[in-house]
Amino acid sequence: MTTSKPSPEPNAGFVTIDHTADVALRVWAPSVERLFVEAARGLLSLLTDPETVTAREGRRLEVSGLDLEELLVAWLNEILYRFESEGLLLAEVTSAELSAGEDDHRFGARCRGERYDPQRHPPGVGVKAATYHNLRIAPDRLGHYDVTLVLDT
Amino acid sequence: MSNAADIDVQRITDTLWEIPRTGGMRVPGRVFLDEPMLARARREGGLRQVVHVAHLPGIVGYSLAMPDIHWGYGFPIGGVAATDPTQGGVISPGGVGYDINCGVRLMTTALEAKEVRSRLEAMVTALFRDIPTGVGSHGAIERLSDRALEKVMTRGARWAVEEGYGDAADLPRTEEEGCLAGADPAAVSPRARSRGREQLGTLGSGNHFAEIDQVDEIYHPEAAAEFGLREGQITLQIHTGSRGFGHQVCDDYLKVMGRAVRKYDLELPDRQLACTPLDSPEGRDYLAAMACAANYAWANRQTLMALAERALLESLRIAPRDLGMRLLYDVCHNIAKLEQHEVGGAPRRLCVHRKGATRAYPPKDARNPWRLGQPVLVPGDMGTVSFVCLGQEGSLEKSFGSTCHGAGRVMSRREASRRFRGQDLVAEMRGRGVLVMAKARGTIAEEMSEAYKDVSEVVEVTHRAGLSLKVARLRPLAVIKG
Repeated sequence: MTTSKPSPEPNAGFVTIDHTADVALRVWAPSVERLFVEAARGLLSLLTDPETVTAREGRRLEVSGLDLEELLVAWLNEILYRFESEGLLLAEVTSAELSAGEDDHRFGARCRGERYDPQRHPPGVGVKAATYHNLRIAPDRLGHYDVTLVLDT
Repeated sequence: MSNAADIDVQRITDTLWEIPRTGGMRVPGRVFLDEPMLARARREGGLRQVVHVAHLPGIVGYSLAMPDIHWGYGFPIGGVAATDPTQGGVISPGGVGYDINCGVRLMTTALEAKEVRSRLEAMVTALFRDIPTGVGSHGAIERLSDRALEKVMTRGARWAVEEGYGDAADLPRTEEEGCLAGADPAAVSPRARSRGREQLGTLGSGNHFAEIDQVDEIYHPEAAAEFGLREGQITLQIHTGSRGFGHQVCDDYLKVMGRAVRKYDLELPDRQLACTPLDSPEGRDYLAAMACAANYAWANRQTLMALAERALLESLRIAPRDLGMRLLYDVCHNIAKLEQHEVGGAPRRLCVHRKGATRAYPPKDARNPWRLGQPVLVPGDMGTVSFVCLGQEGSLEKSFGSTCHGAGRVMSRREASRRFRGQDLVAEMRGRGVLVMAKARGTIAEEMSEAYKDVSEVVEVTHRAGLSLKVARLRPLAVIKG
């Protein structure tokens, strides 16, 4: 198991877990919004060394889904799409907003980052997509979330 | 992932084991393994996934796995499942995978290994220069127009031939002649198109590669002669798929399937198995989009083959006839196809999912032009060997005409990265007789032979099980990776 730099709050964070053919991301947080932010940080730690990424340009990203699981998969796949199509690496995710209606979940956030530069950003894992494998997002008795996502690599 | 110690496994032969039906399984599971592999598959979680796949509506016969089985999301890698559209059978994008029509093609040449040994460095440098590799790499060919992309989707390898990449003689030497029927671009999202326009003619990253090999052993002289293989010959392999285009089609349709599972009230043990009846609008749309991605992958491999041929001609400064590059065969190993199979003596049209498995049609099958059986290409990792095999009679009844697809990982990418940290792997590989060029240093560590099951053991099991016979072994001399 590999842990990236400690999260600023002890009750939110992520670790990446090895699987034989794939990589999993375990993410925990006291709210769904924070969970999504931590998942984005975890994904960045797989794509490159997060220390090398600075917030140079901003973008607002939005995704929608049937339920929270689909929304989280859509969120990570949106980040992967931005990386692949524009070379965008996200250093910061702020103003995260969630709206949850029946069969209509939406998540939006203000994201800041920079374009991938092979000279400065060490290549990480080639992540193809986030998967739904055994994915379940539900709060525990104290309202905390703890979720494991399998990524196809 | 899960504790598989509780899965009951019964020995059928020394290469075939059965998981009897329990709970919601609609059919038993069957895995082609020898005994040491079975112990590993139990520990690793692949067997649990064979059990999960056996829950799919309309599954016929058995939920199968090949000896290169390893844990994947949803379906195991090495998994084969056939479903019957007339019995509520489903199609599951997770049973195809994100890299739709990931596959391999093998080219023979007129070159002898001993003649080109001193030129290998120049050859691999030219391949690495002319074939775009790595995460986010763009095509060596021009960005596709919308019209050109539509042709790629509907014509597959034939589009590439029409654009001057390779020639029409390559098409009969490609599974499905390089074009899966039923492709409909209307079923493909704008986002998949935008990813597809940029990436045709790229190799990608991870386990994808282009490799110069030497034929170092022939097991079946008659088949080797039919395939144009001889000892000491230089061959070239290309392993890649549909790139971001296929990933996006899979992602788009997993969303569609999430809704279909509710609409058709399907009960599944894992959300990644999300599926829809073949006979539903959602099922028809996925098949149409998947065929577009499959065709994109064939166009990609056909284009890359031509780029590789030009690179080799230039680096060796010889004429095409002296290089004598010829496509031996191109197989896909992540796909679902509607095929005719016999079940209980009656012909049935089934949807065969192969996720990390290769079609292996037997001799004299009208669906392949080969006298002795369909060529099966089983790439190994970059440090060991690859195999050319021959589809066998037994494959039809035992595995819906399927066999293994490769070695299968035994060590995670990160574990491999840690294991080889700080070592000069290019020098290490050179010591093993293989020149390696990769965009990312980490890729070499992740792909070291130690991270993979021994492909020789895998093909030994399919050989003994009567799915596919060994024809020839290829030893890598030079590899390019992402």
